Amino acid sequence: MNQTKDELIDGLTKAVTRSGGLGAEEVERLGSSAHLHSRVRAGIEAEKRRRAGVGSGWLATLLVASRAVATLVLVTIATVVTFWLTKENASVTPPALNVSGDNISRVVTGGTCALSATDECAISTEEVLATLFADNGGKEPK
Amino acid sequence: MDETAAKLNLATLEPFIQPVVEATDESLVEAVRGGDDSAFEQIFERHRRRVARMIGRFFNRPERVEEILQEVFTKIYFALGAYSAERGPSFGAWLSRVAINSCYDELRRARRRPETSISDITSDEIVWLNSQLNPGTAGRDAESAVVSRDLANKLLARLSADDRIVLTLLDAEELSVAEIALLMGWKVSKVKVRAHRARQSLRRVLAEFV
Repeated sequence: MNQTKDELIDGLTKAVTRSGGLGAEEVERLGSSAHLHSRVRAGIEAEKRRRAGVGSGWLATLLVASRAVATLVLVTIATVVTFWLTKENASVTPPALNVSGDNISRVVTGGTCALSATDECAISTEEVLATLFADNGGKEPK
Repeated sequence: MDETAAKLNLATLEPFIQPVVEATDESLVEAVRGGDDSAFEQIFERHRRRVARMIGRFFNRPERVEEILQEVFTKIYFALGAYSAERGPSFGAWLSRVAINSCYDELRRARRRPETSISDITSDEIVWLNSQLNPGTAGRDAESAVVSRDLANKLLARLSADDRIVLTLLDAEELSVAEIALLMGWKVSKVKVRAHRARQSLRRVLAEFV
């Protein structure tokens, strides 16, 4: 009896599986409807548009990226050229200053930095000593 | 004289009479690849009913079947470039594989949003199920019984996508284990194990009512 019931259940599972889904007439109607064709065509067109959109999106991103890279390269080149030109100018000897004969007084009032900065302002050791001894204890010789 | 005239007429017409040879699927695929959209229309016309029948095995709502049909043919259209008859199955088998995979994906999605619960099964349906398992009443085996489509769909909705696919292909489409393995891209052993488990699952579902 149990065996029979098992067999019946097996048979019923097959019957259930076969009966699932949509009816044959309905399937035939769907499979042959003109509406299906236009629907598939619309689906294909929509997918084409979507893919074109995705493609142009990537293209736009690539375009922006390539422009950014080009701009960076140009800025880098400009920086290097500017740096190179500045270096060239710095190595050239500056033109001689038009100085008058009051170098000593200007050095005294200008300070130590001015003494060593330029040749025009430089004074020799003798000139320094002469200045010191000429001072004569801080008083001008009479 | 008339016969001679007829022969002459046939002889003059012969170069213009083209034998009607139906294009193969593979040649149509080549034509679509070459940009001939009318070739795709022919492919569609040739296979639409078969694919609809296949999808109709798994879903009981016409709009769902239409959606999947559209999805399958759209996929096919864009995947034709990757299809190769030399490297893989025939076009028909390839199309079936795409269709079954689409059904499988949809069944898995449907499991995540169940629309039918077991409580939807009415008391009349339970009585009917029990009557099928009483050999004395009808004098016929349960396999030959016509199960209400609605009830069958409610019961099958309880199965996992894998179980549903395997059982339907075995019992409804009557494919062999090897064919199912080829169609699903599974090993034969996996199909066998899955089929056994699927039957057990459906028996358990039925056992809740009988």
